[in-house]
This record gives sequence, C-alpha cells and structure tokens, in this order.
Amino acid sequence: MSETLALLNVKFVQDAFKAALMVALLCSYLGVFVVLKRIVFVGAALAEVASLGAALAFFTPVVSGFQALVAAVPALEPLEHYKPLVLALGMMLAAVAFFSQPTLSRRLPREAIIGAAFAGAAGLTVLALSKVPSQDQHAMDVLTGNILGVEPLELAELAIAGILVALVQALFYKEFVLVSFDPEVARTLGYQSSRWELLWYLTLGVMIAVSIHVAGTILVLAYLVIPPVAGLLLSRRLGMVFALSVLIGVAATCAGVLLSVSPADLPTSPTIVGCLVLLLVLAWLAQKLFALRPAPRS
Amino acid sequence: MSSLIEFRDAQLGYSRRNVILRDVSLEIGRGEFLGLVGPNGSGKTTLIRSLLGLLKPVAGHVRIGDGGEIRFGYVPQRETVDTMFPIPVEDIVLMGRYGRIGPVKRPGRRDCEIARKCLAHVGIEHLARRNYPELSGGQRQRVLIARALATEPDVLVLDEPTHGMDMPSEHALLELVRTLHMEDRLTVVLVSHLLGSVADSAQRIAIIAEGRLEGGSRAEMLTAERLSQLYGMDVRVYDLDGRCAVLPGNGRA
Repeated sequence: MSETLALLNVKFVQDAFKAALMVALLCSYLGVFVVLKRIVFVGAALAEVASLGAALAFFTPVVSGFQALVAAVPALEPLEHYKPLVLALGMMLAAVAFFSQPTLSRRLPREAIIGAAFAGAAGLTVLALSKVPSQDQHAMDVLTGNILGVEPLELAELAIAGILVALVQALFYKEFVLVSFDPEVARTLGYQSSRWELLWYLTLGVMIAVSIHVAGTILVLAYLVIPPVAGLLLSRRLGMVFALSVLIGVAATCAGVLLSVSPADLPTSPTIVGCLVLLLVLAWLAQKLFALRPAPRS
Repeated sequence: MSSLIEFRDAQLGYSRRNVILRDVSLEIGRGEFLGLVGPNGSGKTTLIRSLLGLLKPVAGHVRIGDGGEIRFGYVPQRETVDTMFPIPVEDIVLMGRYGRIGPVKRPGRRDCEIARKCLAHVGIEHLARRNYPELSGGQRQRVLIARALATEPDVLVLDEPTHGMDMPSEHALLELVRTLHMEDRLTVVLVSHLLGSVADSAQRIAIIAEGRLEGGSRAEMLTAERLSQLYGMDVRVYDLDGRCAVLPGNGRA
C-alpha cells in the first residue's frame, strides 16, 4: 500500500492522474446528454472517426506529404507533434457537420448512416494501423491511448480543450437542455435549434478527439455511457444526474489508476473501465434495493 | 377586430417543387378563437410552421403581426416532447421565459414568479416539483400549456392538444382553453384532426382538404352541405342542447 502511495508522488503517475480526471470529468458530464439524447452510437462513431484521423497522421502518404510541405515551408516543422491531433479534429469536425445535417435521415435511417460511418472508420483505422511500423510506440500510444505515457504537452492540450468545452457547456447549459428536450419549441422562442445542436456536437467532438489522444477509444466511450447510466439509475433530478455521473466517473478513475500502479500491475484504461462497470452494477443494485425508480405515475 | 395574422394567396411548402398547401388565404384577428381542422397528412403542420414564422411561404403573402412583433405560445403535440429527460415541471414551464431572457443569462425571480402563476392558472401548481415523464397525458398537456403561457403570448397555438386523451380529460382540457380565451382574451389557434374537438369552442373554423384551405364562421362551415362537399362523404350536423355534433351519415354525398 505504501509503495502504491509512494508512486503517486512520481511525476508520470501524477500526470496520468490529472489527464484521466480531466477526461472523466468532462466525458461523464457530456455523456448525460449523449445518453438522454439517445446518441450513444453517434458518440461511438465520432470516437472511431477521430481515431481514424489520428491514424492517418502515421499513414505513409500523409507522412511523405507533410515532409514535402515542411521542406517547402520550414516554419511548419514544429507542427509535426500536433499532426495526429489536428487530423483527428479535422476528421471529427467533418463528421459532426455531416451527422448534424437535418436532411441526413430523409431517405435512410439515421442509425444506418452512423453505423456505416462507425464500421468504415473502425476498419480504416485498423488498415492504417497495419501500415504503422510495430516499433513506432508513439504511434500506437496515440491511436490506442496510454494514460500512463501522457506527455506534458498532451496534458496541456487536454487542459486547454477541457477548459474551452467546460466554459461553453457552463455558459449555454440552459440552451443545450432546451434544444435537446424540445427543439421545435426552442425555434418558436427564437433559438436556432440546429445551430445550438451543432455547437453542442462540436464540444462533444473536440472532447472526444483530444481524450482519445490520451485515453483511447474504449475508455472514452466507457466514460460517455457508464457514469450517466449509473447516475440515471440513482436519481430522478437532471442536476443530480449530472453530479452523480461526474462523481462516479472521477471515483472509478481514482480507483482504477491506484489499482493499476499497485503491485497488481494492471493496465490503466481497462482497470478504470472495470471500476466503472463495478460502480454501475452497484448503482443498479441500489436502485433495485431502494426502489429509486420509477416513480409512481399520477 | 384587427387582423393579427394574414395569409393571402400563399403557397406553403418546403420548395417550389414541394408545395403542400396552395392558395391559402386566411386572417386571424386579435382575440379570435380559430379551429383548424384537417385529416392526418393534410398539411396542418406545414400551416402551423408557416404561422409560427418557421417556414417562409414559397409564394404569396404572409404577414405576422399588426405592425409590431408578436409572440407565440406554442403547445406542440405531446408525443414530440422528449420524456427521457428527468426535468421537473417548474423548470419546463420556466423554459417559456427563455425567449425573453436570451442566451447565457439565467432566469430571474420575476421569471420564476411568472412560471408559478402560469402553473396555478392551469391548475397544476401542486405538480411543480414532479418530473414531467411521471405525469399523465392530461397533466403533461397542462404543463405544455403553462409553458406556452409563460411566454406571455399574443397568440396561443395548440397542436392536437386532445390527441390520445380519454373523454373526461379531453373535455377538461378544452374547457381550460375556452377559459383562457374568454377570461384572458387570448387569441387561440387550436389544431385538430377531429372536427368535433373544435366545433364547440372555435368562433371560426378553417378546414384543410385536398391541399386547400377553406375557412369561415362556425355557422358558415358547420353545415351538412358544406362539410359533405369538403370531405367528399355524407356528413350530418346535429344540434344537441346548443352543442354541435358532427357525425358521418349513411349515404354518399
């Protein structure tokens, strides 16, 4: 135990803690909207598309193209590090613009289009990964996420994106709830629902893109779904659901990181996911035992 | 009675190739109660969206307001409102104030006071802390009406408010709308696919049939001859103790 606590003073463990907590805090919060808006599959598709963007940064033609660009414009060389993030953000923005089109589902079911994007992005990511040299650990970390290997620069990127997303969410909380709950009435009240929806999707997309960079697809998806579901099992108040979701996300992160650096020596992301699932089961049991839901209908 | 809303020879739809309603001419006066009736898929939603200013006419003229801007209190179909969000009734009613509050700002004391008054006005102040998804259909409809009233509207627009309700709930709700119209002198547009829902309440009735709108006073519209012609079937109109009952007849028109 003392060994584990001593490890918490080590810089890379502290950085991992900070990164995981930031991802947990914001993804667990955004996840409440994701679950209530019934767009879990959109979240999964955006995560895969962002992964594909990051993977393309290591794809030989893209690498050669960027090298040619740097040869022509040497000032672009410092951007080398940001290539996966920029491409992940670019792909994600294109996907957000595509998914948020009001006319998307006129001829085909929306789920089918999102499913096609999910499968396509996942397949192409594996294809791109197959062309990354196996010894390129940095590429594998960027694509699969390695919280314990998070670099100070990545932590700074995550913090900047996190603060921006938190600010937008805090400022426009009332608008986001209104357009999610009743977009038609929102329009009659003077709120352009489609523009507010786009802004909300952008915050989700940005958070997914930067989070995947450090935490990987599975952990980000787990944060987006499991804590909100547990929160909804435990409370019937929207404000409390948000609070519980964040609390559960943070608690699982603390437990998961501590377990992973303990003598048990477990991989960090899967351990956090395991803790999230355990808390979800406990929430479900609490709901069953104390009959928290559903409330009687009048 | 000054005209608050006017449609003149308007073509309503989503593009020139997708016109849903043709040659719509309709006036809605301040303080009037208009019943808008049409079968499912006849274009009622298109007309409402145009009325609310959400859809521009493809051609023709639509004027909304009598000089200044007017505010709508819109009561959508209950089924279109999300029941997944665990939001208390008072917060939903408060949403009606958002148009006046504007983005970023939070509702103030006066907004909360108005929301409480609107809840009391529709008789559900005791449900203020309850969650919307936990309520019955009739209670939910009253919440949506309270939210529309919280906008302090010039025109109250109700889209199929009695759809799927049992007879006592339907009667109570139509009584509430009549009271709001009479006591608050509110302009009301009530949309229904059932003529019976609006026949007793509305002063004027507009019927959509086969892509066209025909309107007039109750006396003009609620005749067996007119309705039989509009619906293309035998329709009978009965006076039952001063109340109007519209029923299908036995033969063809």
